Amino acid sequence: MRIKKGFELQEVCGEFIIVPAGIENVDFSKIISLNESAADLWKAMSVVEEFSLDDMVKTLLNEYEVDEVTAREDCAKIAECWREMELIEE
Amino acid sequence: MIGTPVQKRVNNHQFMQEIRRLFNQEGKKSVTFIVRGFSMHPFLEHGRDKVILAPPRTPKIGDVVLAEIAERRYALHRVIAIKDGIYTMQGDGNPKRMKERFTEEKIVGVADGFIRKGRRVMTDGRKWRIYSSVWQILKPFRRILLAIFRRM
Repeated sequence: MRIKKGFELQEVCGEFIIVPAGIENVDFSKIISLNESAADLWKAMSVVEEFSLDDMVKTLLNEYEVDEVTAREDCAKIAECWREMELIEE
Repeated sequence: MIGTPVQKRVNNHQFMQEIRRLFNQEGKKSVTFIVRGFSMHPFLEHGRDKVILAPPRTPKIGDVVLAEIAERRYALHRVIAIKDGIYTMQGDGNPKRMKERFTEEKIVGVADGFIRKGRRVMTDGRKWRIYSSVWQILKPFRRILLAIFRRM
């Protein structure tokens, strides 16, 4: 999978949000916010051409003290969420 | 939970800084956010309605402006008077004595429209003009009307 082009991660009031790049109106009532670890994953995955669930898990394990089972579950959930929000494509 | 919509409250002052920052970015024409407070009753409802805010410009009487009215205090109210570069604004739902004064550089943005009960009402449209003039006419009865609206 890969992160679709045209989205940028911005930090607003300590929250990480995903904003479509070049959009004229920023609608704060309908934004996608990420927690810190999801934002880290987003940053890491947005610079690579393509990534797999394993890549996400590896990134998370590198940066956070978490066991692999939990990391895999969380990454799968996040990837599913991004897919639902149409932020990634296969 | 991941993916569940939630309403988050953010610090007002920080949020205003972010709005200013976004307006400085190229191509940003407006920001939309949910309003807080009851001062623009009965038109805007706390936690339900939204404002579509455009970057600062010189407002006219009747415009709804978001301005810093005191150190780190902000209000989104209607401009009711302009004199010698001093703007006076008042919330539609506020009593007569509650007015705020500010100068042009304190303006964070000017409302281009609102989303009321999920419907878009632009300030250059007919609906907003009618509402504004009706509310203007009813001004002397404001207190009674607001009391009634509050009970509704």
